[in-house]
Amino acid sequence: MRITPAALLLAMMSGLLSFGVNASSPTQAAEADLTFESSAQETQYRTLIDEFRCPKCQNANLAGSDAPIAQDLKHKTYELVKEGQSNDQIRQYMITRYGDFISYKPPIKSSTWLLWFAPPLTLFLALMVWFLRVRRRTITTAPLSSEETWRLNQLLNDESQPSAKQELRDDR
Amino acid sequence: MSRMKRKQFLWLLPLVIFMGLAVVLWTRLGVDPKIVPQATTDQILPTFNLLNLTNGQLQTNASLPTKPFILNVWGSWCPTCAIEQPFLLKMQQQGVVLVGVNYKDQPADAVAYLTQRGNPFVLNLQDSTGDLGIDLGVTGAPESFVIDQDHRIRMHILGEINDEVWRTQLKPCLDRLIYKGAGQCV
Repeated sequence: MRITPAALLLAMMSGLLSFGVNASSPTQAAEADLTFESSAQETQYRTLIDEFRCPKCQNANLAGSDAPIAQDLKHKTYELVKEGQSNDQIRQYMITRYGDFISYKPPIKSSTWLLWFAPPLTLFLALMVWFLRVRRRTITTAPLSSEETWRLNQLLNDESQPSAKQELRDDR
Repeated sequence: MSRMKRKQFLWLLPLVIFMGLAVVLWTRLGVDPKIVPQATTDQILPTFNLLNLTNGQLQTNASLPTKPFILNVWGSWCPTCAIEQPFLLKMQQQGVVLVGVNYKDQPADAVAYLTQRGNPFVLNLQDSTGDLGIDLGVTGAPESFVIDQDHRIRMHILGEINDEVWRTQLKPCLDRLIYKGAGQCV
């Protein structure tokens, strides 16, 4: 297999990305027996503590942190879920107290446009550049003239002549 | 010829980019990445109904001083609080008004701690559940807030208060609030 620069870069980037994901992936901390009225509430609770970030630990979510404040915020999330509050209400509760910092899912607003739209934009630009280059390459491959066709046929038919092959190689 | 040569080295480009990224990320490891949550700064102090640690009476926002003061979140369980305690006493002697939030503590332990080390606070709120702490946006203890005469939070300090924090942050903020009326500190 030929290693192209693009493939190499892609491999490195995916390596970096998966490393980053692993670093922040939740390791479910043991939780005191929490009871939920429905599995939907439990799912809501798990989703939220996965999404919220521990304000003390800089780079761990609530689910993966044993810091006292993370325990308290998990308990607060539990209480709010039990009260029947929606995801957005609970998110708002956390953001008014700890800011956008609390969420690993930053809101889309003017200060976060770069964060949200730079990756798809870069991908789009890269695809455009790639597309244009491929198209240009196709166009420059002009059809063979009658003279060239005649010569090509001659070279292909006359396989016994090593000098002809040699010539072909030199022409490349 | 030169084009051939350039093509030959093209495959090195990703490696160079990767090394550049690695150097940037590696050097960032030496920088303190601490982000101070400031969501509650410039907001009105959250409302509370808490017991007074020393006399057991119910306290509300109306019990707070009406001139700028420092709200200090502390606990007898917190080692850094014990380190900054002498400095708090020094501040009190110099006329700074301090209100304590006794955060997630056993009242008996907290009272014993104050008796033993001295009490720099004009008022101590007993926040056993830590709910006021969450409303203030604290991440632990000790943390301190500068509160203005209208009970609006003007500064949030994480960690120990010492001479440097006092000189560079707390005092300029308090002076501003006391001598120039209300205003932002950060």
